[in-house]
Amino acid sequence: MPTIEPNEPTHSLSMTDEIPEALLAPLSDSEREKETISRPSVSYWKMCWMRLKKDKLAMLGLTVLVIMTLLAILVPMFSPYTYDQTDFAHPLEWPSALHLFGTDKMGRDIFVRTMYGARISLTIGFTAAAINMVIGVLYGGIAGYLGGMVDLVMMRIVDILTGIPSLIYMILLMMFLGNNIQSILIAMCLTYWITTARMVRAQILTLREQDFALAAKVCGLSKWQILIHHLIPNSMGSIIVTVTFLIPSAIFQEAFLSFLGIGIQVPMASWGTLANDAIEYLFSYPYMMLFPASAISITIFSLNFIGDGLRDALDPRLKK
Amino acid sequence: MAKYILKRLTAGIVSLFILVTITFFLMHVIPGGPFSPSEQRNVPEKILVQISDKYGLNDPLIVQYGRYIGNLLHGDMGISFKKQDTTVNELIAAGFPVSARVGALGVCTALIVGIPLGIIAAVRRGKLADGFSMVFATIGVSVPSFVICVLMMYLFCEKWKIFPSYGLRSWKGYILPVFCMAFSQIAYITRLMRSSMLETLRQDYIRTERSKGVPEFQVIGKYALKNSILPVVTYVGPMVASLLTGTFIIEKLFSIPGLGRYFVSAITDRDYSVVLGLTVFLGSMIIICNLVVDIMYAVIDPRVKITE
Amino acid sequence: MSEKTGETLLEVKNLRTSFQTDAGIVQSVRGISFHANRGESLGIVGESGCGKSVSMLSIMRLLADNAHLKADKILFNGEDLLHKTAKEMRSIQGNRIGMIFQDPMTSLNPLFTVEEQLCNPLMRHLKLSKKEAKARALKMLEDVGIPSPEKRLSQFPHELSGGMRQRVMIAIAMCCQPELLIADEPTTALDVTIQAQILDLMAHMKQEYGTSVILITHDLGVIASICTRVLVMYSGLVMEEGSIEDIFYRTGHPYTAGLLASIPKETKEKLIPIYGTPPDLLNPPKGCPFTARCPHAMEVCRQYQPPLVPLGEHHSSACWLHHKSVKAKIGEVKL
Repeated sequence: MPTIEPNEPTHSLSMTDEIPEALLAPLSDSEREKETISRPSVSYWKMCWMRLKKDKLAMLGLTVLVIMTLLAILVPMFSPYTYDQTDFAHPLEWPSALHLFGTDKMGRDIFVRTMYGARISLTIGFTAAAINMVIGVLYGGIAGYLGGMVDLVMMRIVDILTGIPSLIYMILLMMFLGNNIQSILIAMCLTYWITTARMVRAQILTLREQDFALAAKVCGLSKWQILIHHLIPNSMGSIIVTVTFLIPSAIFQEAFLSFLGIGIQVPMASWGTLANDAIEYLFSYPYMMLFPASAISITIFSLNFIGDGLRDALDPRLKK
Repeated sequence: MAKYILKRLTAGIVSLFILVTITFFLMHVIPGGPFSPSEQRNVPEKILVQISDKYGLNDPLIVQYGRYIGNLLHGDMGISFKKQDTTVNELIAAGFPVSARVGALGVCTALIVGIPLGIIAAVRRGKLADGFSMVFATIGVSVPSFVICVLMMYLFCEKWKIFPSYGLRSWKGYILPVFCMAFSQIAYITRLMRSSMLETLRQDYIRTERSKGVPEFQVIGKYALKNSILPVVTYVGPMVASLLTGTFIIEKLFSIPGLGRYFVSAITDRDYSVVLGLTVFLGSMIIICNLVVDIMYAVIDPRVKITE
Repeated sequence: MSEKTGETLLEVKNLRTSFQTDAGIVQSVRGISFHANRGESLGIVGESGCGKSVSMLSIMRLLADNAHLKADKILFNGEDLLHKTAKEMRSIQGNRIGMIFQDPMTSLNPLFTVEEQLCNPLMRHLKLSKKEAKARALKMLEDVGIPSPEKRLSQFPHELSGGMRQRVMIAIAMCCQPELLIADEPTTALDVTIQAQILDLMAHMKQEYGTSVILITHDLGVIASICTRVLVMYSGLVMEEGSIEDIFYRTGHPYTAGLLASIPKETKEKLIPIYGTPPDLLNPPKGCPFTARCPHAMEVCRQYQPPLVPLGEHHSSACWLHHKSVKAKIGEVKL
C-alpha cells in the first residue's frame, strides 16, 4: 500500500490570536470565484487517452503494432528479394546475414515472406474487424431499438447462426468462393459480428430506457436520429473494446485456415501459410516455424494488451 | 420445466433442419463432386458415372435432398462416399468416443485450472499473483493453438522424448493433446473469471456480506463466486460442444483417431454424406450444450425464469 | 444497557481517509473527530461527497483496497479498533456494530435467499444451530414488520419490494443485537411514504434493543425526526457539532445556515439554494473549504482553516465569524 499523506488543514491561526486587519476584508464575488474548482474540465475521449498513455503494457503493445505495420509496409518495398522469388541454389538455409530468417524449401527469403505475411494478416484483421463492427452495430442497434417482433425475429436468426458449426461453414464457403483474401473476409462475416450485435443490443436496450433518450424524444428527434446520434455514441466505449478483440481473433482465424491449407495459397504468404509450410520441416529446420509463429504471437499479444488497456481506459470503473 | 425443454428442443430441431438444408445446397454448389473426373483421374469416366448412379448423385438435387431428409428422420445419415462400406453413423460412433475422451479431459483441466486462477488474480489484483496469471492468460489467448501444439511436440516429443508424438495408447499419449487443448481455454476462462469476479466484488451486496463479519474466504468462495460464475457458464457451453466433438488441429497433429480430423478432409473430398452428418452432429451438440447452459443459468440465478 | 446511557460508546480522533486514484490522491476525510454516546442517536449531515459515508466505512473497515486510513484513535467501547486485525474486526462487524446501506435494491445478494443472508451472522456470531438461527430469523422479520415471515424467509431479494428489502437489511443489521447501528442514508432510495415507516422502525428498534444509532443523511428533516445530536460535515471536515436545538435554532456556521435555508418549510417562504459546488478533494483548499460559497467569506477564510470552537456546552463550530477580532470589527453575525 502506498503511503499517502493527506495535507492536513492548517490551524496555524488559532482562535486566541489576533487576526490582522487586512485579513478581515470581505471577499468579492470574483475573488470567491477563484476558490472554486481549479481542475480544467477534460473531454471524455481526452481523458481516456490520458489514462491509456499511463498504461505501460498498452503503450508497449501500440509501439510493437506500429513497428510491425511499418515493417510490413517497408520491408517488401526495399528488400532485395520479393516474396515469391525462388532460388533453387539456396534452399533451406539457416538464418544468416544474407537471409535474416533463412530460406524455405524453394529458396524464398523467409524474412520478406514473414513481412509480406504481416501485410495480409494485418489487412485481414483490421478489415474483418471493421466490417463486422458495422454489421454488428447496425444489427444489434436495430434489434435493440425497434424491439418487439423485429427484435424477436432478429434474435432468433442470431440463435440459429450460433448453432452453426462455424469451421465447417467457413471451409464450405472458402471452397465455394475460392482461396483468396476476399473469400476469407466473407467467410468471417458469417458469424463474427454476432458478439458485437448481442453486446450492442443489450446496451441499447438499457440506454433507450434512460432519461436522456426520453429527453431527445421530447425534443422531437426521430427514432433513427436518437439511435444514430445518442444511443450508439453512448455505447461506443464497449463497441470499441469488442472490436479491438475482434482484430486478433480475425488474424487467428486466417492463420488457422491458411495453416489448414484452405486459406491464402502459396506462393502468396500469410503467417498461417508460412507455418503450414514449416510443419514438415519442424524437427529438422525449426527456424522456419519460429519466425512466423513468433510474428503471430507477438502481434496478437500486442493487440490484446491494447484491448485490455482500452477497456480500462474507456471504463475506468472496471479497473478500480 | 419439461415443457420448456421440449419447446427448446423443438426450436433446436427447426434450426438443425435449416442448417442441414443450407449445408446440403451449399455443398452441391461447390464445383466438383466425390466422383467427378477431376478428382479421380485414373478411373474411366464411364465407371465414375456408374458409381455416381449407384449413390444416386445423378438424380435431380431436390430428389437427393428429399431422400436424404427422409433417411435422416430415420436416423440414417447415409454411407461415406470415400470410405467404402462405412456408414456415417459408424464413422461418428467410432470417432466421437475418442474425441470426447480427450475433449472431456481438456474441459475439466480448463475449468479446474482456469476458475481458481481467475479468482486468485481478481482477489490479489495488482499484486504479483495477478501479474503472473494475467501474463500467462494473455500468452494463452495470443498464441495460436497450432503454435502451442507444434512447440510442445518439438520440445517433448523430439528434443526430450518424454511423450509420444502420436496415438493414445497409454496415459502418456493423452497429456500433450489435453494440455494443448486446455491451454487457450484456461487463458480465456482465467480472464473471464477475473473480470467477472472484480465486477462482483465491487457490488454493494459484497460490502453487506463483509459488514456482517463474514470471513473473506466465504465472501469470495461462496457469495461472490455464485454471482461471478455466470459468464463462465455461458462461455463454457459452446466450448464443451466444440471440444467434445474434436479439435481438428490437435487430432491432426497428434494423429488421434477422433471426429475432428474429418472436418476438413470430408469437405475437400466432397464426401457429402460425411459433411452433412458432421454438421447435424455438431449442430445438435451445440444446441444441447446451449440448452444445458440456459438451464444451469436458471438454477444458479433465481431471477431468470425459464418457464416463460 | 440503559444503566450505562450517556457514556461514550464510540470515540474517533483525527480520522483521515484518502483514496489513490488515476487522477491523484482524493482526500475524502481530512481529520475529523467526534464521539457517539450510548443510547443516543447521532446524525451526520452533509452533501454527497463530503466524506460522511467514507468515515463510517473507515470505522467499519469496509473500504476498498485503494484507500488509506489514518487516525489518532478509534475507540469502540474502550477497545482500539484501529489496531485490530481483520479477523478481530470480523467479530465486531455485524455483531457489535451493525450497518445499513443506502440502496436496498443492490445491498442484498440476488442469488441467495433471505434466510441464508439473515442466518449467516446469527450462526457465526451467536453460535446458533441452523434451527435456532432460523427461529431467531423468523422473529427478527416479525420485529421489523414483515408480514408472513415464513414465506419471506425462503424468498430471494428480487421477490421483495424496496421497503421490504430495507426492512430485511435492518433485520440483518440488528439480528445480533449490536451496541451500535450505523445507518448510511437508509431512506434516500425509498419512496417518501416508505421513508417514514423505515424511520419509525429504526426508532422502534433503537428503543427495543437499546442500540445507539449513527444516522448518515443529507436530509436535515430526517435528522430532526430521530436524532438528538448532529454533526455537520463539509468537504471532509466537521463544520459544526451540537444538539438538534443548537443546529436548528442557534446555528453557528454559514454552511449549516445554508442547509437549513434550503429545506422546504410549511411557511411559503422562498427556498434559498447554496450556490456553487464543493471543492475538489484531489486538491483541497488550504483555508476554509466553504469560502467559495460562503456569503460571509473574508480574506482570512481563504488562507486559514478555522478550528472548531465551543459555542455552548456541546455546541461547537469551525468558523472565523466566532473570532474576537471579527466580532470586534463587524459584530455578531446573525446566521
